[in-house]
Amino acid sequence: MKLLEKLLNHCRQKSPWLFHMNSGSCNGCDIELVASIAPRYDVEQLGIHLEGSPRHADILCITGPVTFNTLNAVKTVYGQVPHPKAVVALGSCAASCNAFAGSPTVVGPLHRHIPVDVYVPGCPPRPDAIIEGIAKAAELLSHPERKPLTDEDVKDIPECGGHCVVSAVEPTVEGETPCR
Amino acid sequence: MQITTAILRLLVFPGLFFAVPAAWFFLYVERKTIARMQQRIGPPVLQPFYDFVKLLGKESPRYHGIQGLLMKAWPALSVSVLLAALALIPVFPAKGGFSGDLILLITLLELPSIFYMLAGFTSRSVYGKVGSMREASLSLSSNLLFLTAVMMIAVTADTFQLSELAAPSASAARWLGLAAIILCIPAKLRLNPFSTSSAEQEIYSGPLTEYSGADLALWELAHGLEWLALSGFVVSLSFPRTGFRLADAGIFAFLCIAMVVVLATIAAATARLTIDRSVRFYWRWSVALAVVFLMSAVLFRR
Amino acid sequence: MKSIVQLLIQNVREGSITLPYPERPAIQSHYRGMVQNAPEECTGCGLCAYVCTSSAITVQRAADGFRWSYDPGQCTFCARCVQRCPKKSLSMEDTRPPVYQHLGALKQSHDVKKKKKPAVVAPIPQAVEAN
Repeated sequence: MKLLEKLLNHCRQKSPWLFHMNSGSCNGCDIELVASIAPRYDVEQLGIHLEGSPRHADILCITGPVTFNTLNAVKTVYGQVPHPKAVVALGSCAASCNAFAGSPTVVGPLHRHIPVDVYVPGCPPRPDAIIEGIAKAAELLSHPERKPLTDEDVKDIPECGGHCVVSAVEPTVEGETPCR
Repeated sequence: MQITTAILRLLVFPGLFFAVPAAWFFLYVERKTIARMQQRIGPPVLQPFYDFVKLLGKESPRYHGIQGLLMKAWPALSVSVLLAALALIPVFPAKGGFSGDLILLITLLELPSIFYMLAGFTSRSVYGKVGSMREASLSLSSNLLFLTAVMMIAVTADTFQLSELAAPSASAARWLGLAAIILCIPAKLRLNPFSTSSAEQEIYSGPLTEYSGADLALWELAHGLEWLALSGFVVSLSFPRTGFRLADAGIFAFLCIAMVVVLATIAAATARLTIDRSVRFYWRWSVALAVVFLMSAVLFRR
Repeated sequence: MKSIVQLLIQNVREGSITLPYPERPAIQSHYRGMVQNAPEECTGCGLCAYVCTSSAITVQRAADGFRWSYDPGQCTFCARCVQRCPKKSLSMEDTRPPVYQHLGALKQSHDVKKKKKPAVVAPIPQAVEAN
């Protein structure tokens, strides 16, 4: 069984499927993300495939500061991605709202609502930085301790469309994300 | 056909042990060809295998009741039906068949497309419904051409047995029929320019939107097996047999891969047509050619 | 205007133009990368924090000095701080910020202690000797 586990983890790293979501971004980061699919950078050499449905994806790439209108959509899509999953916060807006901090329609950076694994800084980040971030997330997926959350872990959290892990809790220790 | 031959065909060649790695190889050839046409590197050789194993390890969303049962059944049935179709393909016609196995093969080749459609309706998602409706319209329009071409090939050769059809004849009817079948294959495989039923990003993956985990792995495998079955069907009816089994298998494999490369090149060169244009394309060709085919089937039968 | 067939033949003949991972294209000159501060030049005036569009720079003053801190994860790389700095102690380096996993991992800060002004003791003019 250990051999099968190793094979499974190796394959998880070699075939990370992506779903891209825009939670109110200016589209700069989105343009750089699709530039990384273009022939010059070609993420398909790493097995990365931009998928049409969140249920097909392993890695969720979210751009933009989470606006009030997109908050429910972000939580629902996060719940729809099956385990094991990784979240990449693309751009400095997703990490820290950048210039929009304090705006009444922006409900805060991404880590306040869903657990984030990798941050890719930049405004917008270069395509090679995005690919490095996705490759790092793919490597995190291959770690065997990322077991799926059970119903016990999520029972106090409001249900939205599947295994929704929603946390409005601020990280208590700098750098730590909840629900890990 | 003897029972041992049937089991060998189903499990060994061209059955399970050959078909599954060959399906992965064909998926790789398709993706690599499209990548090379676009000046990209493309995925490594084992990529479809990595995708399959990774999807087996993903969690599947739980659907309850009859919906859950059906959603699990459609991909499993697709794969089984395609494996059975592959067992019927006459790579070595000397091993015999049975009268009427052409009709069984065509039925088995139609079923995966019906299961794909039903999967979209069963998933009860809006995107699934749109994708399934498109797949239904496309299948209806391309099947007329496909079935009349097959009928013409069979009637002009005066047999419905695959092992007798496997030896190519010099008749124009055979080659015209095969050309018409090749014209229908992009619609069956949902390749560009007829990929509108599984339009990525436009309808969020269409009928397979709600699928994940092992079921999605089986759908991808079914797609690869469909490639193998359709190209194998066309090639096995068109190349002369040398009598040496190894040489025959080699030529069969080479011609199948050549067909994959040609179809993938056409897919890289064209854009996706909308559903009304796709249906109009097939109906025009269908009506014109169906008349020609049926007339020649009647006039030129032996 | 080439036809698609000519384009495909040209593409296949030219081969792939992809940069194989992890190769990446060279950074051109005048690239706006992470902000660097030279602590010996910095006076803690706080103008960089004032003009910063994304509040990535903060200057905290204390009795015995100040702390200048900068978070590249929040920076938008507009270079307004570099333009505004009166002592020209800020500059942008040629590297792009790296990918990180924990919030605030890239944050950097400098503590600068206030320099003690040397006591200037002017000699008390002596009484001129009366001639």
